[in-house]
Amino acid sequence: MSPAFGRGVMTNHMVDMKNTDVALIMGSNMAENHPIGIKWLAEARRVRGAKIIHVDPRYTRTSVIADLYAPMRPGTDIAFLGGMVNYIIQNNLYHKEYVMAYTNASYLIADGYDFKDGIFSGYDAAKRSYNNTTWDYQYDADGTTILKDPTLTNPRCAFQLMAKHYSRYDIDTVVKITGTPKAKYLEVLKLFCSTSAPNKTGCINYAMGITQHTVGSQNVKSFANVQLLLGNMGRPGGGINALRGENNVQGATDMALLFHIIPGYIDSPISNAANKDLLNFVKAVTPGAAKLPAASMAEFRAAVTAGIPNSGFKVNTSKWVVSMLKAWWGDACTPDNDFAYHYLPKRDAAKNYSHIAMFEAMHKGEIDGLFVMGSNPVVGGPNANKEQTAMTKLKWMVSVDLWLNETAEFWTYAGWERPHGGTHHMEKITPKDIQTEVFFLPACAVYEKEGTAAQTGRWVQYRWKGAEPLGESKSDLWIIDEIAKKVQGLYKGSTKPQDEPLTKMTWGYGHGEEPEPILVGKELSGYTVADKKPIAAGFGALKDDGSTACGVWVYCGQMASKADGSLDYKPMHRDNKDNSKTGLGLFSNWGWCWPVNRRIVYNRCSVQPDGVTPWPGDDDRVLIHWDATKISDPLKPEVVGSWVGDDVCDCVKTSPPDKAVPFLMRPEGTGCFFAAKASFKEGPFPEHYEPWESPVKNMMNSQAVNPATKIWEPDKLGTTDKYPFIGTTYRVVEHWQTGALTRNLPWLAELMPNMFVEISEELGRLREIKNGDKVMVSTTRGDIEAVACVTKRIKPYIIDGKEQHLVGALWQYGFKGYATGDPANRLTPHVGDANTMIPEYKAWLCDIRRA
Amino acid sequence: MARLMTNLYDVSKCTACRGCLNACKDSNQLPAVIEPFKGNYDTHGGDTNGNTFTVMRFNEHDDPVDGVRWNFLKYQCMHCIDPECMKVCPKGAYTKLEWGATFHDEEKCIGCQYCTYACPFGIPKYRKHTDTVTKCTLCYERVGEGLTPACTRTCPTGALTFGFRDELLAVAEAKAKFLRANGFPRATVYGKVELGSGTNKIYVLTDTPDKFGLPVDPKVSANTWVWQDWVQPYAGWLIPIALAGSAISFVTTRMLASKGGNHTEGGHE
Amino acid sequence: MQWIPEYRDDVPRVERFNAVARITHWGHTVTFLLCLFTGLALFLGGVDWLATIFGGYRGAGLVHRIAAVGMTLMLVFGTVFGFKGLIAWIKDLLRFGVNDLMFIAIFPFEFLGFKVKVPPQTRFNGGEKGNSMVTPTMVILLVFSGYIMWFPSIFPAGLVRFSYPVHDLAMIFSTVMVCMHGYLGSFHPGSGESFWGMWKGTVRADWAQHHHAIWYKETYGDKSEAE
Repeated sequence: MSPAFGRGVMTNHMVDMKNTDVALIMGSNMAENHPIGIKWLAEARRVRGAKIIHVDPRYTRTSVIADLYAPMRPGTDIAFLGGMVNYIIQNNLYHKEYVMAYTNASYLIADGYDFKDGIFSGYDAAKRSYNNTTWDYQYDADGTTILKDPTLTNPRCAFQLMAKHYSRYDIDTVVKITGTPKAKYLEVLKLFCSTSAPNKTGCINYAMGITQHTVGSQNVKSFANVQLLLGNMGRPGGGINALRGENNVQGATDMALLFHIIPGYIDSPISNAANKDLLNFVKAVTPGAAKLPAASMAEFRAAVTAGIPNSGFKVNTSKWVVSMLKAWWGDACTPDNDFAYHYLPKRDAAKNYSHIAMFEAMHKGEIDGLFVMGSNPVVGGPNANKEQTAMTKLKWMVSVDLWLNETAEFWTYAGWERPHGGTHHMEKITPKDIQTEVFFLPACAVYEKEGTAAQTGRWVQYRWKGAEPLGESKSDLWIIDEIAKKVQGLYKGSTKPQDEPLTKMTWGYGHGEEPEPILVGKELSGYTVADKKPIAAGFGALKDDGSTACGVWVYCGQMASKADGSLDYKPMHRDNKDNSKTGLGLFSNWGWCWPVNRRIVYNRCSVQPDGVTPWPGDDDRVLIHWDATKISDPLKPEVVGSWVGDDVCDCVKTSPPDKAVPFLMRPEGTGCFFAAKASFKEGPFPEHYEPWESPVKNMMNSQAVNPATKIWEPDKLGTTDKYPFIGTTYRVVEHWQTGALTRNLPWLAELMPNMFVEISEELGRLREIKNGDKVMVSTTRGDIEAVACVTKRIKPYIIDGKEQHLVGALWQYGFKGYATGDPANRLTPHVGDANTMIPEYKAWLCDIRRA
Repeated sequence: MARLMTNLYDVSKCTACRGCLNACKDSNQLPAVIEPFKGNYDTHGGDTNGNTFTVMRFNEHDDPVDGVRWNFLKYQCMHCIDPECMKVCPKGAYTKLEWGATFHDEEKCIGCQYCTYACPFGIPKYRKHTDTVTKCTLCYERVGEGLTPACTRTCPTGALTFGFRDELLAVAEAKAKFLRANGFPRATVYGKVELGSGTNKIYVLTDTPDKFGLPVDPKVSANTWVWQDWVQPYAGWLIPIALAGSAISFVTTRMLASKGGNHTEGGHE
Repeated sequence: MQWIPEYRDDVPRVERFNAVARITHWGHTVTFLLCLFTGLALFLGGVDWLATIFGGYRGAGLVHRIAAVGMTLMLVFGTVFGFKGLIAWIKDLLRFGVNDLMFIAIFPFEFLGFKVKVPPQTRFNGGEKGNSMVTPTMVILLVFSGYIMWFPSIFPAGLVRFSYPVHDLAMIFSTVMVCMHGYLGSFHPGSGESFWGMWKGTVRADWAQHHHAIWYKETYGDKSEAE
C-alpha cells in the first residue's frame, strides 16, 4: 500500500467497519481469524443494511455470513481485481471528482515507460530484476514539476495507460483464469462497484490470502487501484483494511522487526557508497533528495526547511533518523561524529536477510546461532523439512516460548518421524547426529505481563498485568533486558572502537526486578534531550540536530506530561465515549493510534476538494473540514485558517484546501495508480502471473511466474505430471498460528484434535477417498499424513475449460501437545513475494492419495 | 408466575467460532473429551455427552438453487416449557425454575438415563464418574446473580442473546421475517410451539429445521407417553392387589379351617 | 396360629427337588428380592427409607447391579448344572392339559379356604405350570432389558427406550407372581408342605400322592398303576 498511498498500514480501523455500505472480504477468512473484529461488519449490516462479499478458494465460516460468496482459484487475485478495474473504467463507474483531485490519474508518464507481454521497460532477465528509471513522470523544463492532463484523455496520462493495461482483463478472460462462475463474478462487480456513488463507501478486508503469494504486493496494489477509482480511500467505512494476524505484529513492524527497515518504516542502510555516511544516507532515503547538492548536514537541513520538490512529508526523514540515533546512543551522538551513524549495522547489498534467505544460509551452515522468540518455524516456516534440517547445522539455538514447541524440540526423535511411502526422500536424522546446543527460556503469557500492543488498526493500547507468571517464566521484556544488560556487561571497559555500538548504547529501563514498560514507551515516544521531557506535540517537533531523541517516529506524541509533571502515557487512556458527533466510532480517547492519534488516514478525502462541502449525501461521514477563520496556534495569531473535525487531519493543519495534499506521505502527494520508480520490484501496474507452481499456463502473458521473484530452488519446481492438484494452507478459529499454545489447551484440542485436509467431493471420487479416510499429501518438498475431510464447500475450478482441484491443508499441527499432526508446511515451497519475501504458502502443487 | 427468561440463538449471525463451547466448559469446569477427527468439524458426533453440555453442529447442503450452504447450530438442552424429562424422572430430579430453566438436581439423580431416552432431543447424558446424567443448566447460578449465561456473554457477534422470552420471540419473529425477504425464503423460528407449549430456548433458523439436524416436529415417542401417561399410573397396583390377596387368603383359610375342625397337612379332602 | 406346616420326618418322605434345583431357586430368590427392593428404592417415589438401608441411591444402584449379575449367574448355573432337571421341567410344562385348566378354574375357592376337589396333577399343578411359564419369561425379559439399560450406548436408542417399560412391566408381573408363589409355597395351608420340598428337598409322601397324584405314581409308585 505504501507505493499507492504513502503508508503500508490498515487505513481505517476495526470499529470503523461498521460505517461501510459494502465490505469485500478477499484473501481473508475473517470470521475464523478475526472472530471479534467481524462483529463490526455484523453491526454495519444490522444498522445500515451493509452487504458483505466474500471471495475465497473455499467456502468457509466467513462465507456463511456473507451475502455473496464467489469462489476463486488461489493466486489469481490480480486477474480478479484487474477485471474489476477494467469493468469500472469501461462502464464509467469511477468517482470522477475524487479521481481527478486525489490521484495521479492525470499525471503524464515518461516516454521511456513501456509494457509488453508481461514485462515492463528496463528488465534484466539474467538478474531477474528491473532498472526502474523509466517508471517515472514527465517533468517540466525545471525538472521538478510533473506534467498533467486534467482532461484524462492524453494517452500517456496514468489513467489512460491504466485503462490500456487493464483492457486485457475482460470478464471472459478473467473468469477463465480465476475459475469464478461468470454470473457470480458479475454480481460481485456490480455490488462492490456500487460504492463509487459519492454517498457510499466500501471497504476491503484482506489478510494472508492476499500477501502470501509471489505477487502478494501487487495483489494489494490492485486493491488500491480499485479503491482509488471508487473513491473509497480516507473515508469512514472505506479504505483498505489489512487484517494483521497477530495482536502486536503491527507493533513489531513499527519497531522494525523486519530485515530491511529501521523503526518507522525507513529503509535500513546498506554497506555501500550511497549510504557511506549520514549525509549520503539521508539523501538516499529522503524522496527527491538523491541529487541534492548539499555537502553537509547543515546544508541538508537548510534544504529541508526550504522544501524539497516531490518529496512529500518524508522530506523530514533525516529528523526521524537522527532522533532515533540519539535515542539509541544518547551522548555518544554528536554533530561531529555523524550522530554515531557508523554504529548502525549495515546490510550487505548482495544479501537477502528474509526468513527464506536466512534458512537457506542456515542450511548451508553459514549461521552459528539462532534466537527463536515466540516463533515455531518447524511448523510455521515454509519448506519445513528443509528448515528443520537447517537447524541441525546451527551451533546453538535459544527458544523462547510458553510451552516446549516443535522448534524447541526439533532435535528429538519425535521431531524426525516421517510417514512411510511418500514421494519425498528424507534423510533419517537422530538426536546424536545433531550438534546444536539448544536452550529453552520459558516465557509468560500475555496476561502475566505489562506493556503496549499495537493492533491492526494502528491502535496502541497498554495492557495491565492480570496474574503473576507461572513458575520461573518471564516476560519477553525482562528476557531481552537481561540479555542486553549481560551482553553490554561483557564488553564493559573495552576501548575498542568496534565495540562502541555496545559500550556506548543507552540502556536504562528502571532499576527494579522488572524493566518498566513506561520507560520504554517514553523512549519510543520521544523526548527533548536537554530536559528529558516527553515530546507531546508529535513528530512535527522532531529535529535532526541532536536536540530530540525518539525511538520510533510514528509513535511520537504517545507520551505527554501531566500538569504535575508525571507521565501521561496515552495508550493507557480508556475513554469509551465516541467522540465522533455522527457516531462513526472514532474513540479518539481510547488508547492512542499512530500517527499522532489520527484514526482514519488520508481523511482529507472525506470531504470534497474545496475542503468544506461533504460528498453529496454523505454529510455524516465527514471527518475533517476547513475552517477559514480558525486560529489553530494562539502563539501565531497571524496564521488564520485550520482544519478541524473529530479526527486528526491527515494533511498540514494550516494548509488551505487547494494546497493540502491528501496523501502527504507520497512524494506526489496523491494516491497513485501508477506506482513510480522504486516502489515495486515488478512494475508500476499489477500484472497477473501464475504462482511459482501452477497447473496452468499464464493466460495473460507468456511469463510463467513473477519476473522479479527470486527463485531459490529451481530444481524443486513441482509439475503436474507428478503433482496435479493445487495446494493451499489456512487456519481455523480454534487454533492459533502454529498451535504451540492452543494445541496444549485441552478444550481447544477437543474442538480441533487432528490434522486434516479438505478436498472436494469430485476429487474424493477421483482418488477414491472417502470422508474420514487417512491420506498422504505430497510435494517435492515433503509428505504429510492427514485425515481427509471431503466437503461440498470446495468445488473444482473450471480453468480454461478444464477442471482443476484444490487440496486445502490446515497448517497448524505439529508433534507436541494434546492435538498432534503433521505440519502442512513440509509441503510449501521456498519462494516468496519479490518485494517482501513473504513465502507463497497459498498456492503450490501437490498430489493426494489414500494412505 | 415470573416472566420467562431465555436464550435466543440467531443462526444468521453465528460464525461457529465455538467460543460458546469453550465458555460453557470453563464456566462449568468440565474436562475436555478429546476424540479423533472423523471428517467433519462436529465434535462428539454432533451430540452432547456427560462432560459436554453443548456442541456446534455443522451441516453441509448443496442446493441447486441456493448453492452451497453450511448450516451451523448450537445444540444443547432446549429447556422445554413442558419437559418430558421431568415427567419420566422416577426421582423427581427435574424441576422448572420459575424463570424458565429446566433444573436438574444431581443429588436426586440415580443415573437411570430414562430422561435421555425420553427427551425428544436426546440431551441429558450419563456421566460415569458421578453416576448421574448432566445437561445444560442455562447457567442458573449466573442468572441468579443477574448475569447472562456464559455462552451468551462470550458470543462476539451477538448470535446469542439473553432476555425475556416474550421480547426475544418478537425479535426472533421480526428477524425471521427479514430473512425470508432477504435470500432465505424458508427462514423460521424454532421453539415457539414445538412440543405443544414450546421450548424456552428459541432459535432463528435460516432454513427448515431438518437442514440443521433438528427434528422438524419433535414429538415425545409413543413408547414414552403411552407408558408414562397410561400404563404406569395403573399397572403398579397389581402388586398391592396380589399382596392383599395373599393376606386375605392367609386369614380366610385359617378361619375356614378352624370352623371345619383340625386339618393335618398333607392331605385335606 | 399356624405358619408353615410342621416338618414331619416320622412319616415317609419323597424327594421333590435336588440340590442344584434348590440352590438355583434360593439363589434366584435372594437376588431377585434384592433386585426388587433396590429397584423399588430407586424407582418408586416416597420410599427414601428403603434407599437408606442400601446406603442411599448410589448404594442401591450398586446393589441392584451386583444382585442382577448374581441373578444372571444363578440362571447360568441352573441351566448348566441342572440341565436334565430343566428339560424335565419343560417336559412337564408341555403336558399342560385339561386337568391343569380345571385346577386353575377351581383353585380360587381353595385359595380362600373352601374345600375343593381337583383332578390328579402332574409334577407341577396347573397354577404352578402357569407360574413356571410366566415368571421365568418375565425374569428373562428383566435380565435382557436390564442389561440394555445398563449399557445403552451399544444398543439402538429405540431398543433402549423400549427396555424401560419392558423392565417395569416384567417387574410388576413377576412380583405379582412372586407374591402368590411365595405365599402359596409357605403360609398357605395345603400347599405349604411344598416349602420343605424346596428347602430340604423332600415332601411328605402322602401329601405328594394327594396333591401331585400323577407325578407320585410315575416316580415313586407302582408303574402298573399309572395305566
